[in-house]
Amino acid sequence: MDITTKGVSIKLSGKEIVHEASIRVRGGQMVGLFGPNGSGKSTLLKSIYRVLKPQAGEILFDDIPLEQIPRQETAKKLAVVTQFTTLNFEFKVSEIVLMGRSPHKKLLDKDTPEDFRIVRECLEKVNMLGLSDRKFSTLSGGEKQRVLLARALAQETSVLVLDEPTNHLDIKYQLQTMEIIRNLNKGVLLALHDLNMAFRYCDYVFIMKDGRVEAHGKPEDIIDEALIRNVYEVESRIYENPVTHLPSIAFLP
Amino acid sequence: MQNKREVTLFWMLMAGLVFGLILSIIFAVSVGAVALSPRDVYGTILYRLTGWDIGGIENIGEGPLFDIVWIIRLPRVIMSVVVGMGLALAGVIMQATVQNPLADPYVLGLSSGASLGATFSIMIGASSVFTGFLANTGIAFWGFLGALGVSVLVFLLSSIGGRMTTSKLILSGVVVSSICSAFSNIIIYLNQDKSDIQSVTFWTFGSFSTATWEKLRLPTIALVVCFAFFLTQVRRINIMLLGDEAATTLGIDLNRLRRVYMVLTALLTAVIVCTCGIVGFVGLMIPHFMRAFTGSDYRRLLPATTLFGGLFLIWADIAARTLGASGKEIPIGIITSAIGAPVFMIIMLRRAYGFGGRD
Amino acid sequence: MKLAKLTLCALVALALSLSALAFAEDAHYPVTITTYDYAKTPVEITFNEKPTRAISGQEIWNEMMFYFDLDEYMVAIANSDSNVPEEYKERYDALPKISDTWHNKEGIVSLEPQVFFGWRSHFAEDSLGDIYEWIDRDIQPVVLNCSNNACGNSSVQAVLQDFDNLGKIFDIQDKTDAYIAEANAMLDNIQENVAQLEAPKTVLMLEYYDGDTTVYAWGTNSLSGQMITNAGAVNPIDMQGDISLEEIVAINPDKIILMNAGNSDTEEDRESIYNAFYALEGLRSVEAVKNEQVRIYPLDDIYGGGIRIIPAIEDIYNWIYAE
Repeated sequence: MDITTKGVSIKLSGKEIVHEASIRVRGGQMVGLFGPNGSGKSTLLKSIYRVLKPQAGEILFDDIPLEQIPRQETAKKLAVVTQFTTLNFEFKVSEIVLMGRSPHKKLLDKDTPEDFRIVRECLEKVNMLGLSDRKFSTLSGGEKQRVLLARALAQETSVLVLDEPTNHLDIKYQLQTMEIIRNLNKGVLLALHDLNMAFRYCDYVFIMKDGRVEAHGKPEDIIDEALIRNVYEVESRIYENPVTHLPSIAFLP
Repeated sequence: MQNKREVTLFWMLMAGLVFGLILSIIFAVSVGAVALSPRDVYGTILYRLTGWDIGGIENIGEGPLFDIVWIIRLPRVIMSVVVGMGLALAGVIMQATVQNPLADPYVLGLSSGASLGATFSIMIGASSVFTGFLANTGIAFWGFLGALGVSVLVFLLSSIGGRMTTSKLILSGVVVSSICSAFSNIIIYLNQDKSDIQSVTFWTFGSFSTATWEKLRLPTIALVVCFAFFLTQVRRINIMLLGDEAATTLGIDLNRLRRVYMVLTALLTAVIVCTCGIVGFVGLMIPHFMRAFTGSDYRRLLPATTLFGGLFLIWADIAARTLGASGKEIPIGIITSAIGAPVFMIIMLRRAYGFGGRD
Repeated sequence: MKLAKLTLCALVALALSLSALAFAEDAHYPVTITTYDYAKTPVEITFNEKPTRAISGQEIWNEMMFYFDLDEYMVAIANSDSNVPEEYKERYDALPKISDTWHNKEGIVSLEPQVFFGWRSHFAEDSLGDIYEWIDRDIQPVVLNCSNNACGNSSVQAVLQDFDNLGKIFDIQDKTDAYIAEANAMLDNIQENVAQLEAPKTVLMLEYYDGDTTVYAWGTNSLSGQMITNAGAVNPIDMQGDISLEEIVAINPDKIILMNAGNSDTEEDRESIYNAFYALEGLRSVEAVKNEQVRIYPLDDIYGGGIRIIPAIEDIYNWIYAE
């Protein structure tokens, strides 16, 4: 499935956070959304997963405008992993992942053995199967994040949206998560902080600054020192990493 | 995952609750201010239901015995069940809707709205302000109108300036409640040209004392409709509990659902308040208590809480009827808080409740 | 010389008796009555002379003033527009009213009264304040004995004591003594008549309004509840409070009095109370309900005190034992 935004502008509390942003995620692509804090990445993503409504522009899933798609349908096409939040209510890990199946359920449907199988598989993929009976609130930050990823996977959508999914993770889990995501064969749109990740994981990137899309293209094509200076306001040097043989960015103080 | 053991335990709990409820109703009818033999009590009920006269009861089916058992006690006992179930249900739904385990059915200002409506009706009088149909309306009508009017006001207030969030909802409830109390007090104050004996406090302490079969109709219908409806919604409610964003990403239209749930809960609570006044603590405490047994999954929590609410209130009413000195009754609101507060404390101390967050 | 001495003695005797007479005239004052503060503690109030500037703070006192023709001593009376007996209407209109006796400290003080006739609740914190402050201001407070159970022990005798207080304060004891005597005679008469009956009737005094969730019963701890006893019947409730329908059925009273303590006592109000009470199906087998022996009395007739209490007792007696 393709996701397209055309000239989307979003205001929050009267202030325009995103200004005429146009991005595109083609089916099966892994697309990165980068930019410094406050550049509007999260806000733009929120409009895509329908938590915010844009004041201008349109958002299309496969050429169908988002308003025309019922909410439950959206949840079958798009799954989202955000920063975990503290829940006011207690649930087990398995219960939370099981809820990922609900977009596919009608009102009075029961949970089927198929659902349970999918939940097990998804927990396995994120290495949380052993903790499936634990209460969510007793998990560490990284563990919680992985559970949310499992839930998103259980939704069995063709596109995944992630808003800084690796922020609170230990390096081991950061890498693990990114590998899981890469091997998914789904379209992925993820907002990331670490520009270095772009080279390893993204087929395409959009760079945002002050609510606008500053540049977009293949990472190796468009990420250069001039862009970094312009968007992140720091000096840098891009070199070929002798170990990974991928471009790496060295930020200069 | 769906632990076989857990499922069994749950159904055992449900069976226990249903049985407990039936037995309690049977027991409750046999106690009261007037000492009646169980034979007389059950013989009368049996006769009324099946026409079978077990013999030995004078004037079966009529007279004071019949009136006490069938016209006074039985409706009262059933009303305590219906109200208990209704308030527990309203409470557990409210908690999910505002995503706050400390919410109760009155969080939308319903109780102050009902009081304001009742105060208006008594002190100013519908017949002096309106004509036609509205002039002949009773207190319960205005109480109901007040309760609903206030909920609408709270909705609107909390939707100003953007999305309705749960904190805005709770704050609006507090604000509107205070405004209603202020107005009630103004009306009462301005009407003090006579002695200050009468006050409109009868709503503050609920009571099932004057329950009749007639009065039971509306609350029962409201309860059945709401219970049936919310049973179909448990899956969605569970998702709502994950948080606004998560729920949206899972395909839930939060705003619409919240509105529908709140309207239904408001209606249910308003009907109950206008039938028997304000009974506190039930809607707040019963869901918490049950969470310790069933967890937060509303597929179990909802039916269990509802049934237990009925069970709890039957016994609270038995206590209200029998523990008073020299045949006087204790207002049921006092019983529910007297039991509720300590139990709540115990639960919190044992940390057996299903709150999220760090201990 | 003897004649002169005799005359002198006679003159002195005359002078002495004359002055004795004069003293006898003034010997009524100072006079002391007992009233009660908000905590129901007795307080002695002394009057050194007949007050000429009095305020009646409540309509029950209004009516007592009219009854004993004390109009000329009133500088203001309580506003009770909705509830003035016909026979006093003109006199009521003629006297100045004081607005809101319950919270109008300044208004009361500005009238410079010597005495304020009120209720126990007048001297609550959030009303006119401490009774002793008023005494300090030289405004003597007199509280109606059975208002909010001010004397701690409400009874018809306490009500008659209000009359006695009035008699002492305004030096009209001949009138008030006569009233009290007549009242007591009537009360004794009732008790004698009833003693000769096989069994006295059982009567409950209840309060119930449309929309209420409980029924209230007035017990013999209160003046209102005692009026049933005074009227020669039995009131089985000792302590006032909520009563369950079952208990009413168990007591099975012969007659029921419904008190209307609402703000108004119109035909519609009475109808509303009557209908609401009869909607309590569970009571249908009770003697009083079956035989439609349920009567509504407005609050003013059966609460607090004043000139309506005694006639009300007689009225209730006649109703209960009318054959």
